Amino acid sequence: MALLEIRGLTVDFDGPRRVCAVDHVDLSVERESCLAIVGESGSGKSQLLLSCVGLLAANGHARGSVRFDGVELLGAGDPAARIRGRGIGFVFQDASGSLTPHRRIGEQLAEAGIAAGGITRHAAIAEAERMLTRVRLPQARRHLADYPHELSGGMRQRVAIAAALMPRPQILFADEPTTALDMTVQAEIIALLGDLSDELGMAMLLVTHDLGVVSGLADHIAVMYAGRILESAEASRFFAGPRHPYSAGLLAAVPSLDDPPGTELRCIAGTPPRSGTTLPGCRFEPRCERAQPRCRGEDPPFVSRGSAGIACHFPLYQDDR
Amino acid sequence: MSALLELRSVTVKYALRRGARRPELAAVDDVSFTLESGEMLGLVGESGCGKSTLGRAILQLVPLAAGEVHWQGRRIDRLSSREFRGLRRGLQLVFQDPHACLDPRMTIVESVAEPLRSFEPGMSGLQRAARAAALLDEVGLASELWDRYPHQASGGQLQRAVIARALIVDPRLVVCDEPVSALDVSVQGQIVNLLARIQREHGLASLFISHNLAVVAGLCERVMVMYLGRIVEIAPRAVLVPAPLHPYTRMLLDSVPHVAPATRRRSAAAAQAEPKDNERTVPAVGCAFAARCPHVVPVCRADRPPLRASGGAGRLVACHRASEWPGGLPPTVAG
Repeated sequence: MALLEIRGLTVDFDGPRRVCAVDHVDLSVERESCLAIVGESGSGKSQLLLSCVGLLAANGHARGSVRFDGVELLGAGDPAARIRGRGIGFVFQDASGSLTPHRRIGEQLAEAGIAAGGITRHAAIAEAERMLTRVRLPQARRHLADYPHELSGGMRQRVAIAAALMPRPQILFADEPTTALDMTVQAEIIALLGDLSDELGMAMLLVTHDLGVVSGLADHIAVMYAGRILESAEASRFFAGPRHPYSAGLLAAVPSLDDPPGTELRCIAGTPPRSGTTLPGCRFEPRCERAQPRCRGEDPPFVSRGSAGIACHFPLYQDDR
Repeated sequence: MSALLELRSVTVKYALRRGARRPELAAVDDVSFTLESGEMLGLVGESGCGKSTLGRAILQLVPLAAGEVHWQGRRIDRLSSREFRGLRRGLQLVFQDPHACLDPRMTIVESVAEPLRSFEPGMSGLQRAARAAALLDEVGLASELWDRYPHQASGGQLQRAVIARALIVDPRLVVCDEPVSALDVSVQGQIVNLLARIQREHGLASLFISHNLAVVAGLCERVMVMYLGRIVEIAPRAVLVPAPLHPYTRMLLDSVPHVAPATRRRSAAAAQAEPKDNERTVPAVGCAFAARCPHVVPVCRADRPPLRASGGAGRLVACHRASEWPGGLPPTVAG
C-alpha cells in the first residue's frame, strides 16, 4: 500500500459561480519516494495539496478520498488532525509566512517539537539545534536566538524546512519551495530537500511550475492542467520522452544553455484556461498542435497502466512496455 | 561614431534610514558600459543586485549619485525634465508585471494608443487608434481582445499589449526589466520569441534584464553579469557560457537547471553567506563577492578588483584571479 493514496479528489469553490479547481484526481506517493506535481498557475496544484491537509479556504470543499497510511484524511475528526500535525510536514513558497516574525527561531522550532508530543522543552531545544544543523545552517546554536528577519531568504527557507521536520513527518508537502528564492539559492534548497528525504527516509510531495526544479529530485512526475492530471510517469521515463503533447511542450519550454544563440524558444501557443471554464472535450485541445475533431467533443479519460497514466486520445507515442 | 547609449561610472545610492547620519546603499556602484544601435545586451543578476535600478537610471527615473549617461553622444543625466522629455520617446521601458503597467479603466487599445497623445499631439483619435491596431496586430494580440479591459485578459496577452505600447512611439532602445518572469512557463517562450523578432525587424537596441542566465544567453549576443551593484563580467555570450572567468558567473551557470533523464543532483552544501535582506550592502573594501567565493584569497578581501580586459573578445572581468584560469572556470562537479 502506498503511503498516500488520493482517489477521485475533487475540490470546488463556492462563489458567484462554482469553480472546480481539482477534478477527479488519482495519485499515490510511495514510501520514501518523491512525487512532483507540475503545473502552471491556476492548474489546481496548490489546492490539491492544501485540500489533503484540510487547509482549503472556507468556501472550498473537497470530495473523494485521501488516505494516509490507511487513514482517511478528508473530513473532520481527531485522527485526521493528528496525522496532519505529525505525519505530514508542510513547506510553503514564502518562508516568512510560516515563521512568526516576533519570536526567536529556537522557540518556534521547539514549539513544533513539543506540539508533536513526547518531548520536554529542554529536549525540544536540543532537537531544534540538531535540526538546524541537519538543514546545513552553519553555527546552528547561534541561530537559535535569531529572529526570522535576521536571516537571508534562503536561510529562512532552511529554517522553515527544519520546523516542518521537527515532528519527524513521514511525508513532506512542499508548495513551490524555491520559487521565491534566487537561482543560486534555489539549487541549494533543492539539493537539500533531496538529501533530507534520503537521510530521514521521508517521502515528498512537491508542487512546482518549474520542470527544471524537479528533474533530479522527483522519482515520479504528474503533470496537472486545468484541474486534471494529464500525464503521470516515472521521472526517468518522463524526461526521456513525455507522451502527452502538453508535457512535451512544457519540457521543451525550459530554456537551456545548450541551445545555440538566437534559437527560437519552443513554446506552447495560446494561454492557460481561466479557472472555471469548462469544455466538452479535452481541456488542452484549444492549445494542442495535435488536436483532432474527437478531442473537441470527447474528454479523454485518464488511463493508467502500472505506475504511468495519460489522458490523451492521441499520445505522442504508444506505451509499448 | 558614438554609441547609442553609454554609461560612465554610474552610481545610484539609496538612503537606508532617515536622519542626519543615514547610511547609504550603493544599488548601482560605478557601472560603465556601451550599447550600440540595434544591439541586444543582456543583464543578469539576482534579486537586489541593482539590475532594475540600473535600468531605471538609464531612463532618468532615479537620480544618479555620480557618473554620466550619454544618449546618442549627448549627456542626458543633467537635463531638465522638460529637455529630457524630447528624448524620452526614444527610450522605452517594459516591466515585469503587465497588470501594473496598464490603466485598469482603459481598454487595451486605448492604453496602447495613449503615448501618442503626448508624443504626437497632431494626430486625431482615429489615427491613433489605427496605429495602435497595427501594432497590436504585429505583436500578435487577437483582435477580439483589443476592446477589453486588462482584468479580462491573461498576463501573456497583456505583456504583448505593453510591448505594443512601448513600440508605438518608435523608440531606439527598449529596456526590458524581467519581461517574462511573471508569466506562465508555457507562455514565457512566446514573449521571448516576440521580443527577439521585434528587435530584429525594427533594428531596436535593447537592454534585457533577467535573473535567468539561460533566457538571457539565448537572446543576447553580449551579456553583463551584475553582483551587489557592480558589473563583475561582460562578455560575448559565445565565450561567457562555455568559459566564464568570474566565479559568480560560474555559480549562475551552475544554477541553471538541466532537464535531462540522467540528471544527478548535487549534494547539499552548507548554507552560504548569501547576502541578507537587510544588509545587501557592499563591503567598503575588497571584492563584493568575496564572502561567497569558493576561490577567495586574502587580496580579494583587501582590494576591490577593477573591471578590466581579460582574454580578448571584448571581455571584461572584475576578478583578481581571472588570469589563473584563462580557459574559464569548470562547472562544479555533480556529486
